[in-house]
Amino acid sequence: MTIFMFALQQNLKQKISLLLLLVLPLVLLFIPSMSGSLPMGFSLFGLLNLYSAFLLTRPVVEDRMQKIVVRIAASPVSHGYYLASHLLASLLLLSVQCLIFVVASFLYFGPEQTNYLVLFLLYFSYSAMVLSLSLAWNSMFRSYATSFALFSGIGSIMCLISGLSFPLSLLPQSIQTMVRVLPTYYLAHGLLMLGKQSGSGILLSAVVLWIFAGIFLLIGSKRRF
Amino acid sequence: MPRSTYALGCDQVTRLMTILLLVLSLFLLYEKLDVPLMLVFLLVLFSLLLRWRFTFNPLFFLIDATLLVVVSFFQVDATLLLALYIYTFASRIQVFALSPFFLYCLAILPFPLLLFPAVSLLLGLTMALWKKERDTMRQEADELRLKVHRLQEEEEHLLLDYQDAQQLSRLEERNHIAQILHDSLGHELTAAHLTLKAMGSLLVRGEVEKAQDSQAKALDRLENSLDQLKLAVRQLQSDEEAANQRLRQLFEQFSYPVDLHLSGDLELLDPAVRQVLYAAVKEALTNVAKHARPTMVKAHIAVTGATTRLMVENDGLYDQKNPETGNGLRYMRRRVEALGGSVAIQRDQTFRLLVTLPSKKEM
Repeated sequence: MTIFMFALQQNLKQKISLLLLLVLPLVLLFIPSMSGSLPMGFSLFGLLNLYSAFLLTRPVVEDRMQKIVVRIAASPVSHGYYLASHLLASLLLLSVQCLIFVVASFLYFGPEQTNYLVLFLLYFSYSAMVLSLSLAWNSMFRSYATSFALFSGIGSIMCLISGLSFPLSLLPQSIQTMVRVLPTYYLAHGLLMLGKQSGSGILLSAVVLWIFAGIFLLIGSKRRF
Repeated sequence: MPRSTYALGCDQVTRLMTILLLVLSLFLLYEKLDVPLMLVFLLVLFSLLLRWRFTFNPLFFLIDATLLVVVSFFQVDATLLLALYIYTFASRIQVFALSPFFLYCLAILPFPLLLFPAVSLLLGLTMALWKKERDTMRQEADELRLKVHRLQEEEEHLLLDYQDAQQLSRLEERNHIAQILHDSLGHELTAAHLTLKAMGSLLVRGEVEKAQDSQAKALDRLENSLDQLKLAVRQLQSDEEAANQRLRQLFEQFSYPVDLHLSGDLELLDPAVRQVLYAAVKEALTNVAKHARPTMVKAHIAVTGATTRLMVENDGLYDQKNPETGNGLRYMRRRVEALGGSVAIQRDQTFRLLVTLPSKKEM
């Protein structure tokens, strides 16, 4: 069995992962939207995606904590191959989550609501970013429980002020400028641009999300024992 | 000196300064921070992190900085981010690389913001000097370690040479004894032997008077041989006595009075053991003089057939580091252990050195 298949199996064994990946995206569709903007569930999906990514990086973190990484280092498997297999497995599951949500949105809201292909690509970019963010975040901790406890607080605040939990326009102007440094802001910004049908704005958001993904990956992929 | 696990080294501080400059640049650009400028900032951050994770040719930084200059034609505020590259170049003393970018910043940025690349340049140069100083110190430390290693090697050779010399001196001593026996005893005994043979022949022929003469001559020669033998033994004993005398003199001539208790016969000792014992006493007394102002110095030497024990104890210690780390004691330990002995140190109110040696050298 390849590491990719093993990682996929490990992730699917967690019941909460299945709930987050398959069921909760559908629940988000029923959240009422504000008039003149995209449904609220579209941005709240960012919050769900963030926590899903955090749960999916758990096997990598646990491998480090249980010193399995040391054994892998002694085996012919390279660290790059090991990490890429795990990340690709997690990214595949997150993509499935995005696809389920986009297809369900298409069926629930109808084809006129928005450009669903662009929406999927935006979510996909965001998934890659949150996966890298989770990896980088976990690399700073030795215990998954501590890491999760802090992340659940900071992640919620980050999503709250970056316009994922409630509309960005309701936030004060000073905070709106400040949150531009937060990676989660760029999903909210991308969705805003999608609502305004600004192609360049969406592209810019997606590029920023990928650069954030690259930055977090550079930090998180460093081998730690 | 043990180094703390959390001590910040030059490399860590250089990275910390990069992070500080990144945060500072973000703070300075805060008012103008729109999405395109954020994108440029993130690209610069990505470029710096990429170099942190992977080793590239430093020339690639030139490409990155040049691209940033091009971007700054369209996004003037991005010029400030050049300071991060200036810092990076300065921290590696790449003056030629940083000069055009620094001049560009001077030309483009208004006065208060101009300070940012200037501070980055100074900070980078400071880090570079620190790194240079650290590298020099590391090099010196490495050279010193190398010297110590060579000295230890030299010492090992000397110890081996010393053992060879002992073996040689033993052979020489045997030759010397053989020579004395041959020169002084050999002739006399041979002559006595021949005279006694002649005396036998004379007795057979009935020439009693001549036989009595021969007997007297043989007796003379045998007496002479006994005298020669006594003389030879005295000559050999004189070396050992001199060595024992030297050992006693060490205690007598020491700057502090020594309460010496000697039991057993030092002359029973193997010459190699006696020599190491002498060196150990000398080292112990030197250490007492160096590391203490004693009111009491006790020395016990006990020689038995199997082992020889030396104990030197003194009070009035200076408050110093563990003397076991000293070279003298280390070398003494090696020499003692080379003969199959051991060295022990007890240190509380007094300093006590215990040396145990086999009385006969282990072959």
